[in-house]
Amino acid sequence: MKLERVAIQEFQQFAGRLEISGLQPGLNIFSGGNEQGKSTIARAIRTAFIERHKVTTLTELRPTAKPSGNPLVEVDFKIADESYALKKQFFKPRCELVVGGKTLKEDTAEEFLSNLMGFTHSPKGATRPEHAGVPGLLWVAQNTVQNVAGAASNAASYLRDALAQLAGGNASGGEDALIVTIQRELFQLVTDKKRSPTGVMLEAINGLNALVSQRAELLRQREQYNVDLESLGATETELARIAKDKPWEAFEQKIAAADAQMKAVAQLEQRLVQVQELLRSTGAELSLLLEQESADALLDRQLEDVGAARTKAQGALDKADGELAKATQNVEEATQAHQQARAVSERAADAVAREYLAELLEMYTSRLKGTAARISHAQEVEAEIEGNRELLAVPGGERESAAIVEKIAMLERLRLAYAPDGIGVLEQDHARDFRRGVELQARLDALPQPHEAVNLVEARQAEMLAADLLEKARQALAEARDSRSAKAAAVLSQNAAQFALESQLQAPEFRSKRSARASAIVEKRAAVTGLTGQKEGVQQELAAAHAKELTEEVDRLRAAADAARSAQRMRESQVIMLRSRLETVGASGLDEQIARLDASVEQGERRVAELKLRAEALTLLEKSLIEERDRAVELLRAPLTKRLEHYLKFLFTDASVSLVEDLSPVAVTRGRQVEELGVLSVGAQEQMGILMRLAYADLLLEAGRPTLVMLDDIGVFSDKARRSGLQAAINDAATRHQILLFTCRPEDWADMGVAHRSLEEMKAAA
Amino acid sequence: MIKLLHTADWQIGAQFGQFDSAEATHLAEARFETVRNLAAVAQAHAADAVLVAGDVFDQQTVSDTVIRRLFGMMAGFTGPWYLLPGNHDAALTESVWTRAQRLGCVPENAHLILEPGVINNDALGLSLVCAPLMQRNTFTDTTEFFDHAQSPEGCFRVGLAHGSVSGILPDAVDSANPIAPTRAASARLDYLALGDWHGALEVNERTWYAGTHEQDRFRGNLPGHVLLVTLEQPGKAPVVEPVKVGKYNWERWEETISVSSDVEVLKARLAKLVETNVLRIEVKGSVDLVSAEAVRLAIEETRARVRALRSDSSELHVVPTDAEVAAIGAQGGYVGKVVATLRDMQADPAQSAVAAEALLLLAQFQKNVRSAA
Repeated sequence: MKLERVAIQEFQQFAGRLEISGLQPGLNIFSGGNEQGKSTIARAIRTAFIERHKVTTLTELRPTAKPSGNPLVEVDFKIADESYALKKQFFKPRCELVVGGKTLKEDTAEEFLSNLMGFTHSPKGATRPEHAGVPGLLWVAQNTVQNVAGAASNAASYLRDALAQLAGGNASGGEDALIVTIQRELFQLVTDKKRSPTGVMLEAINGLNALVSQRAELLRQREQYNVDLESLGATETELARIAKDKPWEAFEQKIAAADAQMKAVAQLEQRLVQVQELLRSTGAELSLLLEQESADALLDRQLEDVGAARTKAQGALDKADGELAKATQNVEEATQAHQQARAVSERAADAVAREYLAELLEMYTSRLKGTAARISHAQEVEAEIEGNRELLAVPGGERESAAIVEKIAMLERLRLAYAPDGIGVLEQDHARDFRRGVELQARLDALPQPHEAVNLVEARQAEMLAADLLEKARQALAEARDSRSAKAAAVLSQNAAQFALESQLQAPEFRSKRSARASAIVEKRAAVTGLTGQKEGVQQELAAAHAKELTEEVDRLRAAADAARSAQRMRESQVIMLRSRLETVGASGLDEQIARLDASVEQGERRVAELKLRAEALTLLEKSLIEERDRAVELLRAPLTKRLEHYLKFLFTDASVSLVEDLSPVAVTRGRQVEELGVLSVGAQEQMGILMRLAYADLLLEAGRPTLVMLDDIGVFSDKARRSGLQAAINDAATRHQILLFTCRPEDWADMGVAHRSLEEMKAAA
Repeated sequence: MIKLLHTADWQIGAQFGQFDSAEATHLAEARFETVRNLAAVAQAHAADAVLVAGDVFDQQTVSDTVIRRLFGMMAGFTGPWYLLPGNHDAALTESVWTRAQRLGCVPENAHLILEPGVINNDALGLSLVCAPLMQRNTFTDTTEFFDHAQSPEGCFRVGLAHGSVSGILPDAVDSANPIAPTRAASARLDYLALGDWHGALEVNERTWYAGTHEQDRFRGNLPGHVLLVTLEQPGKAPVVEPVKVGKYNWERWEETISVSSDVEVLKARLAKLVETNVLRIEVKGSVDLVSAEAVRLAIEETRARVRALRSDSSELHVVPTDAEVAAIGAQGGYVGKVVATLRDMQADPAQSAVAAEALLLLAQFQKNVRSAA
């Protein structure tokens, strides 16, 4: 596509008319300061193509300097050697398209134009971005260049159409609108995200579930009804059978029989009590009698004991008598023996005295002879002493005197030896001894002449032994006498005791009482034996009657009868209860409700199935359409990526790019670094935006679509190096497309190899 | 000579969930109305008695209103009615019959046969040997006692029972409530009036099923009739004449559309249906978009005209022509591919219904989208 001439009149900046002619097939640069009308030119071309001439809302198109002006744009252009002349005026709406010698007017002209260019007109009002199509994509307004994603999305279907065209199909468009319509229908039935039922479908499903659970409840009730019904039948049958059989009557008959037995047992028990009482009192009486009798029997035993003691005492006495006689005899014999022994002893003593006296006499006799000798010797010495003394007494004898004195002293000592105490004492002694001799002779003569020789010591010992024996015999006798008298006393005492007991036992009163008691004891003993027999008899009878078992039996029978009666009463009330319950439920029309619910459930299921079918069909459509669309996009992606990377080389070395399904770029890979578009600098985003558009233009051109690239005030965010890369890319694109570039910095674009058209100059020329 | 009107299987209270609720209500209502019609027919033919051979009620616990209404509908015939409990309304301890008695709505001329035995109508010289069902299902022949049941000399001896005659009815093998096919002969009956089979059916000369008075299913086995039974004299074969009393005719169509002219034929047939028709239609085959829509339209128009209609076109494949594909703007681009996919998917029975529906929807949407553009 190539614009040849553009005329703008009463349009925004241009209150008058601006003619631009001689536009070149490649790059065309328009320069001018701010507010000079660069953007107005771009806007005018855009507006002429894509806005309806009948639009009334775009009042900003009118020149500020001439508010009543009717904006007019004329564009002469060529597509594939065909010339077109478009003339469109707003607010005084006119549209005319001259092509191949024909003039199309108004709506027809616009319809033709939109098909030719690849966009749709808004049904009403100003064209919205989603309708702007290829022009929206390639004709970038000021400061929107980096918004490539939104524009790409809106143009994606046109890009796809372009591909379809390459494949030989007819252009259609609006397929995404179809998907949107299908989704709108689908999302009335299922949710967007989880695809779970919603809206009428959810209502239908919930309604159905409610019906199903309602029916389940009623079915449960009917189940209960049927159970009750069966139970009623069974209970009524049983009730009638029991009412006829009356099982409790059998129990009650048995109870009556058992009752009679129970009475007999009670009598027996009473009897047993009586017998036991009688037995107890009789036994007590007997015990008392026996106790009394045993006290009396104690006296009998005492009497026996006393008799025995008395006999024993008598025996002892008799023995004591014997012992006494023997003792007496012993004393007599001992006395005799003693007398004999004393006589022997006395004789022996006489013999001894005789000997002694004889010896003594002899001694005295001898001593008289000695004394008489001494007296004679002492008298002779004395006579000599006297003889010498007298010599001494004759004077003159002095030499002889000492010898004489000497002799006298020797003779004195001799006299002293003979008669120490004088001769008189010797003579007295002699006299006395003589008298004693006489006396001794007298005594000796008085003594009898001994018969035999008896040892005095032995005799004396025999005598003393006999004396001892005698003394002992005398003591034994005394003891025997004492013993005997004690024994005699004991015999007397026992005799007294025996007499006392005998007189008590033999007392007539005592005896008669005792014999009466004896017969009483016999009688009571017989009574106790009799009663004991009776008691055992009754006890045996009771044991045989099984009183305990009988009671249990009666209790059991009574319980059984009661149970049978109460079971029957239960049955009666059960029947009443069941009947009333069944009647109540019956009256509620349960089966009918269930039948109605069955019908409603069936209807509900059908409704749900229909909705499900619709939802499935819509889901299938949506899925198939999206899949096919994505596949188509996928086919486009590779060539587009290739074109984009072709342009990227002018700016970046070693860069690649990834595209999403609507064919907008998402990330740039430089070297190993992946950068999402959104994080690139504003400059880089703008550069990407421009390159993207150039790539789209290439692709559209390949598909045979008309392309025109308009770039308004670009490159302001780029540094010099990038800008020159961008310029190289634009120059490259300009070999394939016509490019209108508007800039307020002509110096940045001085070396593009084309002459700049200055707005100031153009306006001046106009 | 006596004339008996033999009917059965009224199934009062039956519901029809296979139809929409409005349609179903009419069908349920018809079962009452046809009883009134039947009473009028009995009166018109001067019948001596009406024998209802079981399943008067569809369920035991219907509402009081239903019970009252039914007995009210019988007022048109003033002669004796003999109502026999069947399997649906068996004479249980507590049953729809005991409730009717408690409600006091049983007219004097209606006899409820709540236990097996012989009922003599001396005035008519009629001896009815009756085997009401005392429970829902029995597996012994409840008519066995008929053979030695005593009846007065010279009376008409007529049996009344409900169940399946062994070896005669289709699908009746091992079914509950069996009845010996030779019962009429072995029990020396002049006529054996049976219920349970929903069409009028002659088992043998003296044994008949009356069928339901009002059709309630899609089986064309002479439903909606009563039998007018004329007994000349005891021992002589009965004369049995079916009389139509039913209101609605149920039809089941299975249509196959192969060429577009089949659609016109079907439309013409549907056009003949009237308000007493109940239709179940299944359409199969393979048609283009226009024909598919035409079939749907014709069925919807018919639905508005007949009493009840149930349709199933899930096996009708939609195959758009090239012109149709172009018309819905799907010749090129991926929409065209989707159309082709959906057309092919219909070959798979598991997916054909969904695919056909999707195709129809696509055509519809595409038409709308394009007309809006």
